[in-house]
Amino acid sequence: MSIANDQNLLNAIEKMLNAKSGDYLQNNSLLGFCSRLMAAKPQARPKFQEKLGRKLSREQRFLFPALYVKQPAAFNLREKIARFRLTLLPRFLTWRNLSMAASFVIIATLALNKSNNYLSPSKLAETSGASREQKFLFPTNTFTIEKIQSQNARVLKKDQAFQLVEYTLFDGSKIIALENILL
Amino acid sequence: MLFSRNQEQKLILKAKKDPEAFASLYNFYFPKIFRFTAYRVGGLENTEDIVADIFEKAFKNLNKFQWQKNATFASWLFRIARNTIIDFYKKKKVVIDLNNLPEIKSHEILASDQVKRQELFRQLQKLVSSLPARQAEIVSLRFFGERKNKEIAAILQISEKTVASNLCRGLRRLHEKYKEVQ
Repeated sequence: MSIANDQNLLNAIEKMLNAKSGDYLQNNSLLGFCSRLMAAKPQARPKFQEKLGRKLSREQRFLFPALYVKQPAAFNLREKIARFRLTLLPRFLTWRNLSMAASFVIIATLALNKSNNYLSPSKLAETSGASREQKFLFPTNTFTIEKIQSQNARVLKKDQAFQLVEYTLFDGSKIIALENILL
Repeated sequence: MLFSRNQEQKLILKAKKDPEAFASLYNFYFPKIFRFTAYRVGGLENTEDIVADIFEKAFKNLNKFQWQKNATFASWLFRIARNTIIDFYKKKKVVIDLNNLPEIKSHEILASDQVKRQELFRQLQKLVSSLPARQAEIVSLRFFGERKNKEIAAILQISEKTVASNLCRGLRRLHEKYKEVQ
Protein backbone atom coordinates (compact mmCIF):
# COMPACT_ATOMS: atom_id res chain seq x y z
CA MET A 1 0.00 0.00 0.00
CA SER A 2 1.41 3.37 -0.90
CA ILE A 3 0.73 6.50 1.05
CA ALA A 4 0.10 9.13 -1.58
CA ASN A 5 -0.76 12.03 0.61
CA ASP A 6 -1.23 13.23 4.17
CA GLN A 7 -4.90 12.34 4.25
CA ASN A 8 -4.16 8.72 3.43
CA LEU A 9 -1.51 8.61 6.13
CA LEU A 10 -3.89 10.17 8.66
CA ASN A 11 -6.60 7.67 7.76
CA ALA A 12 -4.16 4.79 8.09
CA ILE A 13 -3.01 6.03 11.51
CA GLU A 14 -6.61 6.44 12.62
CA LYS A 15 -7.33 2.87 11.55
CA MET A 16 -4.19 1.64 13.27
CA LEU A 17 -4.90 3.40 16.56
CA ASN A 18 -8.49 2.16 16.61
CA ALA A 19 -7.54 -1.45 15.90
CA LYS A 20 -8.13 -3.66 18.93
CA SER A 21 -5.31 -6.09 18.20
CA GLY A 22 -2.05 -5.81 16.33
CA ASP A 23 -3.58 -6.65 12.96
CA TYR A 24 -2.66 -3.35 11.34
CA LEU A 25 -0.73 -2.85 8.14
CA GLN A 26 2.97 -3.39 8.20
CA ASN A 27 3.70 -3.69 4.48
CA ASN A 28 4.46 -0.05 4.03
CA SER A 29 7.61 0.87 5.85
CA LEU A 30 6.21 4.16 7.18
CA LEU A 31 3.14 2.46 8.58
CA GLY A 32 5.31 -0.34 9.85
CA PHE A 33 7.31 2.22 11.75
CA CYS A 34 4.09 3.83 13.04
CA SER A 35 2.86 0.48 14.27
CA ARG A 36 6.13 -0.08 16.17
CA LEU A 37 5.88 3.42 17.62
CA MET A 38 2.37 2.71 18.76
CA ALA A 39 3.27 -0.66 20.21
CA ALA A 40 6.20 0.63 22.26
CA LYS A 41 4.07 1.76 25.20
CA PRO A 42 5.89 2.58 28.41
CA GLN A 43 4.19 1.30 31.53
CA ALA A 44 4.16 2.72 35.02
CA ARG A 45 5.25 0.51 37.88
CA PRO A 46 2.03 -0.84 39.39
CA LYS A 47 3.24 0.26 42.83
CA PHE A 48 3.64 3.84 41.62
CA GLN A 49 0.12 4.07 40.18
CA GLU A 50 -1.25 2.60 43.39
CA LYS A 51 0.84 4.86 45.63
CA LEU A 52 -0.18 8.01 43.75
CA GLY A 53 -3.81 6.91 43.81
CA ARG A 54 -3.60 6.45 47.58
CA LYS A 55 -1.93 9.82 48.02
CA LEU A 56 -4.66 11.59 46.04
CA SER A 57 -7.27 9.67 47.96
CA ARG A 58 -5.72 10.83 51.27
CA GLU A 59 -5.78 14.42 50.04
CA GLN A 60 -9.40 13.96 49.08
CA ARG A 61 -10.15 12.62 52.54
CA PHE A 62 -8.60 15.77 53.93
CA LEU A 63 -10.65 18.00 51.66
CA PHE A 64 -13.93 16.11 51.91
CA PRO A 65 -13.84 14.29 55.27
CA ALA A 66 -17.62 14.07 55.53
CA LEU A 67 -17.78 11.99 52.36
CA TYR A 68 -15.55 9.33 53.84
CA VAL A 69 -16.56 8.80 57.45
CA LYS A 70 -20.13 7.85 58.10
CA GLN A 71 -20.63 9.26 61.56
CA PRO A 72 -23.25 8.08 64.06
CA ALA A 73 -26.26 10.34 64.58
CA ALA A 74 -25.30 11.29 68.16
CA PHE A 75 -21.85 12.30 67.02
CA ASN A 76 -23.35 14.37 64.24
CA LEU A 77 -25.56 16.24 66.71
CA ARG A 78 -22.63 16.88 69.02
CA GLU A 79 -20.58 18.00 66.09
CA LYS A 80 -23.37 20.30 64.92
CA ILE A 81 -23.60 21.91 68.37
CA ALA A 82 -19.86 22.32 68.53
CA ARG A 83 -19.83 23.84 65.04
CA PHE A 84 -22.67 26.18 66.05
CA ARG A 85 -20.75 27.24 69.15
CA LEU A 86 -17.60 27.82 67.18
CA THR A 87 -19.06 29.52 64.15
CA LEU A 88 -22.55 30.91 64.59
CA LEU A 89 -22.71 31.72 68.32
CA PRO A 90 -19.91 34.30 68.36
CA ARG A 91 -21.68 36.03 65.48
CA PHE A 92 -24.89 36.37 67.51
CA LEU A 93 -23.24 37.25 70.81
CA THR A 94 -22.28 40.80 69.99
CA TRP A 95 -23.10 43.83 72.15
CA ARG A 96 -25.23 45.20 69.35
CA ASN A 97 -27.35 42.07 69.14
CA LEU A 98 -27.62 41.73 72.91
CA SER A 99 -28.73 45.34 73.39
CA MET A 100 -31.24 44.91 70.59
CA ALA A 101 -32.63 41.80 72.26
CA ALA A 102 -32.86 43.59 75.65
CA SER A 103 -34.66 46.55 74.06
CA PHE A 104 -37.09 44.18 72.43
CA VAL A 105 -37.87 42.46 75.75
CA ILE A 106 -38.49 45.81 77.49
CA ILE A 107 -40.75 47.06 74.70
CA ALA A 108 -42.69 43.80 74.66
CA THR A 109 -43.20 43.90 78.45
CA LEU A 110 -44.42 47.47 78.35
CA ALA A 111 -46.77 46.74 75.49
CA LEU A 112 -48.18 43.74 77.34
CA ASN A 113 -48.74 45.74 80.52
CA LYS A 114 -50.49 48.45 78.59
CA SER A 115 -52.82 45.99 76.93
CA ASN A 116 -53.74 44.43 80.30
CA ASN A 117 -56.40 46.99 81.25
CA TYR A 118 -57.55 45.18 84.35
CA LEU A 119 -54.19 45.95 85.91
CA SER A 120 -54.34 49.67 85.24
CA PRO A 121 -55.10 51.78 88.34
CA SER A 122 -58.14 53.48 86.77
CA LYS A 123 -59.69 50.16 85.82
CA LEU A 124 -59.12 48.82 89.30
CA ALA A 125 -60.75 51.91 90.79
CA GLU A 126 -63.71 51.64 88.47
CA THR A 127 -64.39 48.06 89.35
CA SER A 128 -63.76 48.44 93.05
CA GLY A 129 -67.24 49.71 93.97
CA ALA A 130 -65.92 52.89 95.54
CA SER A 131 -68.02 56.05 95.42
CA ARG A 132 -67.38 58.77 92.85
CA GLU A 133 -65.64 60.99 95.40
CA GLN A 134 -63.51 58.21 96.58
CA LYS A 135 -62.25 57.40 93.13
CA PHE A 136 -59.17 59.42 93.62
CA LEU A 137 -55.97 57.56 93.52
CA PHE A 138 -52.71 58.31 95.23
CA PRO A 139 -49.42 56.61 94.96
CA THR A 140 -49.21 54.28 97.95
CA ASN A 141 -45.76 55.11 99.12
CA THR A 142 -46.67 58.79 99.82
CA PHE A 143 -49.32 57.77 102.35
CA THR A 144 -47.30 55.61 104.68
CA ILE A 145 -48.00 57.71 107.84
CA GLU A 146 -51.70 57.87 107.10
CA LYS A 147 -51.74 54.14 106.50
CA ILE A 148 -50.15 53.53 109.88
CA GLN A 149 -52.56 55.89 111.61
CA SER A 150 -55.62 54.65 109.87
CA GLN A 151 -58.18 52.85 111.98
CA ASN A 152 -59.68 50.95 109.17
CA ALA A 153 -58.29 49.50 105.95
CA ARG A 154 -60.39 47.53 103.59
CA VAL A 155 -59.19 45.69 100.49
CA LEU A 156 -61.56 46.51 97.70
CA LYS A 157 -59.94 44.52 94.92
CA LYS A 158 -56.94 42.34 94.76
CA ASP A 159 -54.95 41.16 91.86
CA GLN A 160 -51.70 39.27 91.41
CA ALA A 161 -49.55 42.38 91.57
CA PHE A 162 -51.82 45.13 92.86
CA GLN A 163 -54.50 45.68 95.42
CA LEU A 164 -56.93 48.51 95.82
CA VAL A 165 -57.26 49.44 99.49
CA GLU A 166 -59.69 51.86 101.12
CA TYR A 167 -58.29 53.62 104.16
CA THR A 168 -60.45 55.46 106.71
CA LEU A 169 -58.23 58.07 108.26
CA PHE A 170 -58.41 59.40 111.82
CA ASP A 171 -60.55 62.41 110.77
CA GLY A 172 -63.09 60.15 109.10
CA SER A 173 -62.04 60.89 105.53
CA LYS A 174 -61.40 58.05 103.20
CA ILE A 175 -58.75 57.46 100.62
CA ILE A 176 -58.31 54.70 98.10
CA ALA A 177 -54.78 53.58 97.46
CA LEU A 178 -53.38 51.33 94.83
CA GLU A 179 -50.73 49.16 96.38
CA ASN A 180 -48.15 47.07 94.70
CA ILE A 181 -48.15 43.80 96.60
CA LEU A 182 -44.87 42.69 95.20
CA LEU A 183 -42.93 45.63 96.63
CA MET B 1 -13.21 1.33 30.13
CA LEU B 2 -14.05 4.02 27.60
CA PHE B 3 -16.39 6.85 28.56
CA SER B 4 -18.85 8.48 26.21
CA ARG B 5 -18.97 12.27 26.24
CA ASN B 6 -22.13 12.26 28.35
CA GLN B 7 -20.79 9.69 30.79
CA GLU B 8 -17.60 11.66 31.23
CA GLN B 9 -19.53 14.89 31.78
CA LYS B 10 -21.58 13.24 34.52
CA LEU B 11 -18.49 11.63 36.04
CA ILE B 12 -16.67 14.97 36.25
CA LEU B 13 -19.63 16.65 37.90
CA LYS B 14 -19.72 13.78 40.38
CA ALA B 15 -15.93 13.81 40.86
CA LYS B 16 -16.12 17.38 42.17
CA LYS B 17 -17.82 15.96 45.25
CA ASP B 18 -17.34 12.23 45.16
CA PRO B 19 -13.80 10.84 45.46
CA GLU B 20 -14.79 7.50 43.92
CA ALA B 21 -15.76 9.22 40.69
CA PHE B 22 -12.39 10.94 40.65
CA ALA B 23 -10.73 7.53 41.04
CA SER B 24 -12.49 6.34 37.87
CA LEU B 25 -11.14 9.29 35.93
CA TYR B 26 -7.69 8.75 37.42
CA ASN B 27 -7.61 5.08 36.43
CA PHE B 28 -8.76 5.87 32.92
CA TYR B 29 -6.33 8.72 32.21
CA PHE B 30 -3.31 7.58 34.19
CA PRO B 31 -1.80 5.24 31.51
CA LYS B 32 -2.27 7.83 28.77
CA ILE B 33 -0.74 10.64 30.79
CA PHE B 34 2.10 8.36 31.87
CA ARG B 35 2.94 7.30 28.30
CA PHE B 36 2.75 10.85 26.99
CA THR B 37 4.99 12.12 29.81
CA ALA B 38 7.45 9.24 29.42
CA TYR B 39 7.99 10.10 25.75
CA ARG B 40 8.37 13.79 26.50
CA VAL B 41 10.73 13.30 29.44
CA GLY B 42 12.44 9.92 29.16
CA GLY B 43 13.69 8.75 32.55
CA LEU B 44 11.41 6.80 34.85
CA GLU B 45 11.95 8.91 37.99
CA ASN B 46 11.38 12.20 36.20
CA THR B 47 8.27 10.76 34.55
CA GLU B 48 6.88 9.61 37.87
CA ASP B 49 7.53 12.97 39.52
CA ILE B 50 5.84 14.84 36.69
CA VAL B 51 2.85 12.47 36.50
CA ALA B 52 2.31 12.86 40.25
CA ASP B 53 2.50 16.62 39.85
CA ILE B 54 0.00 16.58 36.95
CA PHE B 55 -2.61 14.59 38.85
CA GLU B 56 -2.21 16.64 42.01
CA LYS B 57 -2.73 19.84 40.04
CA ALA B 58 -5.74 18.34 38.24
CA PHE B 59 -7.23 17.13 41.51
CA LYS B 60 -6.78 20.46 43.28
CA ASN B 61 -8.22 22.45 40.38
CA LEU B 62 -11.05 20.13 39.44
CA ASN B 63 -13.61 22.62 40.76
CA LYS B 64 -12.30 25.23 38.35
CA PHE B 65 -12.85 22.98 35.34
CA GLN B 66 -15.78 24.07 33.20
CA TRP B 67 -17.05 21.79 30.48
CA GLN B 68 -17.22 23.71 27.22
CA LYS B 69 -17.72 22.77 23.59
CA ASN B 70 -14.02 22.67 22.74
CA ALA B 71 -12.66 22.14 26.24
CA THR B 72 -13.18 18.54 27.21
CA PHE B 73 -11.79 17.10 30.41
CA ALA B 74 -9.07 15.28 28.42
CA SER B 75 -7.94 18.47 26.72
CA TRP B 76 -7.90 20.25 30.10
CA LEU B 77 -5.89 17.43 31.71
CA PHE B 78 -3.40 17.21 28.84
CA ARG B 79 -2.95 20.97 28.91
CA ILE B 80 -1.99 20.65 32.59
CA ALA B 81 0.40 17.85 31.58
CA ARG B 82 1.93 19.93 28.82
CA ASN B 83 2.43 22.97 31.06
CA THR B 84 3.92 20.84 33.83
CA ILE B 85 6.42 19.34 31.39
CA ILE B 86 7.33 22.80 30.06
CA ASP B 87 7.89 23.99 33.67
CA PHE B 88 10.03 20.92 34.32
CA TYR B 89 12.31 21.73 31.39
CA LYS B 90 12.50 25.38 32.44
CA LYS B 91 13.53 24.55 36.00
CA LYS B 92 16.47 22.25 35.46
CA LYS B 93 18.71 20.69 32.92
CA VAL B 94 17.24 17.27 32.36
CA VAL B 95 19.49 14.28 32.68
CA ILE B 96 17.95 11.04 31.47
CA ASP B 97 19.08 8.02 33.40
CA LEU B 98 19.41 5.38 30.72
CA ASN B 99 19.60 2.65 33.31
CA ASN B 100 16.27 3.64 34.72
CA LEU B 101 13.69 3.53 31.95
CA PRO B 102 10.04 2.55 32.16
CA GLU B 103 9.07 -0.96 31.19
CA ILE B 104 7.52 -1.49 27.78
CA LYS B 105 4.38 -3.54 27.58
CA SER B 106 4.91 -6.77 25.64
CA HIS B 107 3.46 -6.79 22.14
CA GLU B 108 3.42 -9.27 19.26
CA ILE B 109 5.45 -7.01 16.99
CA LEU B 110 8.08 -6.19 19.62
CA ALA B 111 10.94 -8.23 20.98
CA SER B 112 10.01 -10.63 23.73
CA ASP B 113 12.98 -9.52 25.80
CA GLN B 114 12.14 -6.66 28.18
CA VAL B 115 15.64 -5.17 27.90
CA LYS B 116 15.35 -5.04 24.12
CA ARG B 117 11.96 -3.42 24.37
CA GLN B 118 13.40 -0.83 26.75
CA GLU B 119 16.21 -0.22 24.29
CA LEU B 120 13.63 0.38 21.56
CA PHE B 121 11.83 2.85 23.80
CA ARG B 122 15.08 4.68 24.51
CA GLN B 123 15.72 4.93 20.75
CA LEU B 124 12.21 6.10 19.91
CA GLN B 125 12.09 8.57 22.78
CA LYS B 126 15.37 10.08 21.63
CA LEU B 127 14.06 10.35 18.07
CA VAL B 128 10.81 11.97 19.19
CA SER B 129 12.76 14.44 21.36
CA SER B 130 14.91 15.37 18.38
CA LEU B 131 11.86 16.58 16.45
CA PRO B 132 10.89 20.25 16.52
CA ALA B 133 8.98 20.90 19.77
CA ARG B 134 5.55 21.23 18.17
CA GLN B 135 5.89 18.07 16.09
CA ALA B 136 7.21 16.14 19.09
CA GLU B 137 4.22 17.25 21.15
CA ILE B 138 1.73 16.38 18.43
CA VAL B 139 3.22 12.93 17.77
CA SER B 140 3.30 12.19 21.53
CA LEU B 141 -0.27 13.37 22.06
CA ARG B 142 -1.56 11.36 19.08
CA PHE B 143 0.30 8.11 19.66
CA PHE B 144 0.84 7.95 23.42
CA GLY B 145 -1.81 10.23 24.82
CA GLU B 146 -4.26 8.71 22.33
CA ARG B 147 -5.84 12.07 21.54
CA LYS B 148 -7.70 12.82 18.32
CA ASN B 149 -6.50 15.65 16.09
CA LYS B 150 -9.43 17.79 17.18
CA GLU B 151 -8.48 17.40 20.85
CA ILE B 152 -4.81 18.08 20.11
CA ALA B 153 -5.90 21.27 18.38
CA ALA B 154 -7.80 22.27 21.54
CA ILE B 155 -4.87 21.38 23.83
CA LEU B 156 -2.31 23.32 21.80
CA GLN B 157 -4.80 25.98 20.76
CA ILE B 158 -4.03 25.67 17.08
CA SER B 159 -6.13 24.63 14.09
CA GLU B 160 -6.90 21.02 13.28
CA LYS B 161 -5.22 21.46 9.89
CA THR B 162 -1.99 22.53 11.55
CA VAL B 163 -2.17 19.46 13.77
CA ALA B 164 -2.67 17.16 10.79
CA SER B 165 0.16 18.63 8.73
CA ASN B 166 2.57 18.65 11.68
CA LEU B 167 1.69 15.07 12.53
CA CYS B 168 2.40 13.85 9.00
CA ARG B 169 5.60 15.86 8.75
CA GLY B 170 6.74 14.67 12.14
CA LEU B 171 6.07 11.01 11.38
CA ARG B 172 7.88 11.15 8.05
CA ARG B 173 10.85 12.82 9.68
CA LEU B 174 10.83 10.28 12.51
CA HIS B 175 10.73 7.44 10.01
CA GLU B 176 13.66 8.82 8.08
CA LYS B 177 15.69 9.18 11.25
CA TYR B 178 14.70 5.71 12.40
CA LYS B 179 15.90 4.21 9.11
CA GLU B 180 19.19 6.03 9.53
CA VAL B 181 19.67 4.63 13.03
CA GLN B 182 18.82 1.03 12.02
